[in-house]
Amino acid sequence: MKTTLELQAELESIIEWFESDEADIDNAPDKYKRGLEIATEIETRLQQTKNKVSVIKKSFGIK
Amino acid sequence: MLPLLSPSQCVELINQTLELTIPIVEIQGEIKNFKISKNRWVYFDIADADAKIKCFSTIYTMPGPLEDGMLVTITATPHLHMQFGFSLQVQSLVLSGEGDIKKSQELLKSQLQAEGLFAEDRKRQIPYPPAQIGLITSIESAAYTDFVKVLSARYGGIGIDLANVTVQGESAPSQIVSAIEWFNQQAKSVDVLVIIRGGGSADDLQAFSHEHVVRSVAASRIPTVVAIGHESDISLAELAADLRASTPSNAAELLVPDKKEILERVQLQTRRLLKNTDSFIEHHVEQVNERKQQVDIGLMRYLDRQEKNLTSSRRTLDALSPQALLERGYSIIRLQNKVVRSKSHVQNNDCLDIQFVDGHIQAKVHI
Repeated sequence: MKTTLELQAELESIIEWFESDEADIDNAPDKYKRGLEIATEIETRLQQTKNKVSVIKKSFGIK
Repeated sequence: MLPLLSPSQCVELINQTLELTIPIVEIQGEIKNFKISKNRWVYFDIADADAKIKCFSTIYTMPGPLEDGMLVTITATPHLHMQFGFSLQVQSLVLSGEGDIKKSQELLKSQLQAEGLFAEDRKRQIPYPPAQIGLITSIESAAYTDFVKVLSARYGGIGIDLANVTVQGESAPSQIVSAIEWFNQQAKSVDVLVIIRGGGSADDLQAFSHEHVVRSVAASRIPTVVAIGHESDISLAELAADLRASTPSNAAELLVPDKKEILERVQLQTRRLLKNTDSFIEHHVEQVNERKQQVDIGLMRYLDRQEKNLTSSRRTLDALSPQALLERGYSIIRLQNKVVRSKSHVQNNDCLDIQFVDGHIQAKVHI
């Protein structure tokens, strides 16, 4: 699974694709759809995912 | 009557008495006659103005380089040796004079610097953002609360394995070292080790300049982030770390991006995506229209050219037609409906048909 930052980079590359000479009308709808999917995925992840703390059971006081 | 003892029995009796009555002592005093033997054994006297006591220990118990005149607090076991007399066997030693702590740290700093432990080229990249953090601190400290709070406010989805250790006092160095080693021994490694505590006096922060802690941070195979206290208190562990943060909150800020900034950026990116898609489609529609116009113009020109060619061909054809010849005054002579092309084709008295532009006449041949 891609990290949030990797997804962000993919979104940026899709935006740049539209600005480049590579952009073609056949692939444009799929690229656009993927871009919106990524944006939604990032927003969901950032708004819903929490951090999780686990305390290690070992006592570091005993050598 | 007192029992008669041998010297050995007397030493044994005194040691037994010491073990029962004063098994351990804590003494604060000045170091005198400090020396290290075979890079392993440490000998010094702990003294005040009126008394001095011999002390013995191993180099591994020392917090770092020591010198005569330093004020220290030791925890030690009194012991009478069969050969060498009375001494204190030092279990732990902490520096007690603020000036001495700094002096010891400076000595250790020079030594470790010379060994290259603080070199910039040793610093490794910290995974950004890390998926799993090994956190070494006290669960009761403000440093822990601040770190977790700032981390959660900025980013989600991170696992934090907390090694709850004491971060000041004589057992702090061994606990911190033990935690660093524990993380490094695990098969499933964390992405980064974060060692934090809040600010404090030089005495409070001693553990983070303890030679063992500093060496352990430098030796960690897992990249390390150390944040101790505030900007003015730079411990040696911070210098040995791959990344130093000024405070525990700052450590959290350096480890992860701010989700608010990411969300703003994603919203901006989404707007750019929509704008780019619109511009792209608009550009293509324009291109199609331009091509269509070009095709229309081309077709018109082609038809125009064809029409001109046709007119010209028609003129040429018209000029060549028999009718045009008749109109220009020529006549067509036929004999039995065949055009006469030569005088040799006719004979005397043949009846010829002569066609003019305005009609036919019959004529008889006289040769």
